Amino acid sequence: MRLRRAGLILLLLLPGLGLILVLIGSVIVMAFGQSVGYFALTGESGFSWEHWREQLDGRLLWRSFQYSAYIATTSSILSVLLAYPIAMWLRRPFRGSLFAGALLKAPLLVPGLVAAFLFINVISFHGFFNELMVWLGIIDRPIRMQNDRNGYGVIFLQVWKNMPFALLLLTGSVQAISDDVLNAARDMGAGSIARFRKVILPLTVPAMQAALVIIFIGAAGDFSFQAVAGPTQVNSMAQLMVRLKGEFGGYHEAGVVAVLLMALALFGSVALAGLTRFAVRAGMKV
Amino acid sequence: MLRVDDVTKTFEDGFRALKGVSLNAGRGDFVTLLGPSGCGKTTLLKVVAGFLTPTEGTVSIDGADVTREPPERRDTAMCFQSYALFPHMTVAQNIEFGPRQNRVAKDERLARLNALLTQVDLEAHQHKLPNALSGGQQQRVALARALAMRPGIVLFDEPLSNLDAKLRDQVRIEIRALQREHGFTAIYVTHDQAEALAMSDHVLVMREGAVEQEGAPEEIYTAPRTSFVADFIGAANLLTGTVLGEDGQGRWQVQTEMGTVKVASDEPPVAPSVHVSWRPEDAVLANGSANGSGTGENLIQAPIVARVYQGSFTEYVLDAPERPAVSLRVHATQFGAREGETLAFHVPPDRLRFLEQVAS
Repeated sequence: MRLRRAGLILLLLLPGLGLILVLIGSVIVMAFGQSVGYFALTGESGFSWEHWREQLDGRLLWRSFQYSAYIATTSSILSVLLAYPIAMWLRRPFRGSLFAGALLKAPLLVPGLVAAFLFINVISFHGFFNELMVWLGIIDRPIRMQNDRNGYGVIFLQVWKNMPFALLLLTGSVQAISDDVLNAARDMGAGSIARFRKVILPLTVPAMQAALVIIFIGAAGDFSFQAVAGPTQVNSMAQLMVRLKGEFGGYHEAGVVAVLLMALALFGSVALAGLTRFAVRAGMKV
Repeated sequence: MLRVDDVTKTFEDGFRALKGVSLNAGRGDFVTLLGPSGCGKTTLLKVVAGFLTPTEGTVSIDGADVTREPPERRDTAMCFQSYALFPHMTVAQNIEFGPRQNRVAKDERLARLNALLTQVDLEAHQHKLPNALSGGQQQRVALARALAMRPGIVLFDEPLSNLDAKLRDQVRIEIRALQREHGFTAIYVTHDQAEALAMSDHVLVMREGAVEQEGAPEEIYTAPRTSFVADFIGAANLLTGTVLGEDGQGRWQVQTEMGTVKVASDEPPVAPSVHVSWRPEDAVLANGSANGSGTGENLIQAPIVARVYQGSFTEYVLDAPERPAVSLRVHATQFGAREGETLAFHVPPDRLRFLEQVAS
């Protein structure tokens, strides 16, 4: 009877859970399998750590790893930092707040690649920004801003694209805090910073963590912003994967990068979520 | 202690929530703002707390003008209708929040916490989150949190409205006991007249942003000045009367919907045509019921339209003898009459009250 019941539950779960397991599981198995020599598209398939050894010993992979971690961390934190004051501003409805909210969320509708092209058109050597600065007499001749070495352009694009998403999550969460709770804190002597630190932040931690994690994962795996506006001396992990596969036919090496990219997404987001909770708790005690 | 002078509050949309309201409360007083929804009582409380700035008028605490001071700089603490406990903090953290914000020394903070936990009987629950507590317990935490600040004035915004009837009675007694023990001034907002009468030293009945009448609970109940107050505080029979004359000893002949009645009043009616009221429990049944014997004056006989058994008394709804469209209510502790029968009763002249002029 119990076995039949368990079977029935499994059967009911299968359409949803099964699909997820097949979609995610097959990607992970495929990537890991390729990284250790299986699923070879050219040559023989067979287990080997050689591709891992080769990649881990090279500088290219670690530079890409660091770069992607840096872009993902900076972009997710900046997006959330920028979204908080706007979410607070939009907490209570006011004349035009609906329009302001819609306008701020508009970047969600613009494909990333389009945004990147628009951006480099603005900041390119003879782009709108440089021409304007020269015309205004602020600079004598155009400055090189495109494909900057520190990836500021990519971070700008990531924040531009992802801040509205963070705003979407945080606005809902901030709006769910009742006026009475904030008034109670105020009544007991908490100024605006103390109210934010001790009431708003702790109550919006789940939304903040969700925003950080989702933006982090997206930015860690970015290809389009990096390809169009990113620095030329370093690759993002996704860019490196494509390069290893495309230029060198290195499917196994690309598999290694893919596994590391998934590890970065997993551990990076867990660390970010954990640190956030720790920081908020520490902030409450001060 | 607390003085509110001629306060007016007009909101951005032009709505005038308060129209020249004044209020005085001494140290240790229990003052209740009573009125229906939308009468401005919570707005007045928020003006006193500092959450709203009045358009006109002033608020002073201990002689200092605090009209423009923010809530965190006022010697007040508020108990919210929704309790407004911090859901992410334990009971103890909630209670300690105020003293922490005000940088009270740790020893003193813990002493206050332990004393309050004992007083509100929540020692066993101090490490629980608010959502693990019952409504009554949450209300007690809110009260303890407010008291931990040692405020001179505690503001209560309908604190019992989310509790069931039995718990409401219990928490009501606890609030009054704590108020007496700590000696703070309480400003209490409610729309429940029974609550106001039971708890207060002084009641302000509010209507449409203004104070309709104020005074001690007994005074408000026994000597209402307007139909609104008479009707809002307890049950009342409201009649329109034409004053026919006075006998020279403060007894007035008045023609009403229940016939010509005598009204004993030291104060003359404000106009020849006035509203008159009397309480259903003031009726004395003429046929020797447990309500006692009547004086024989103001004898009314009216058909019973409905009979509502209320446990400790029975309410009879009657058609007024001279105008059946007007209903009269009589409360009797023991009487077996049924619908369709005639009820005979007296209303002692000193129980009839002159109210405001009848609008033309």
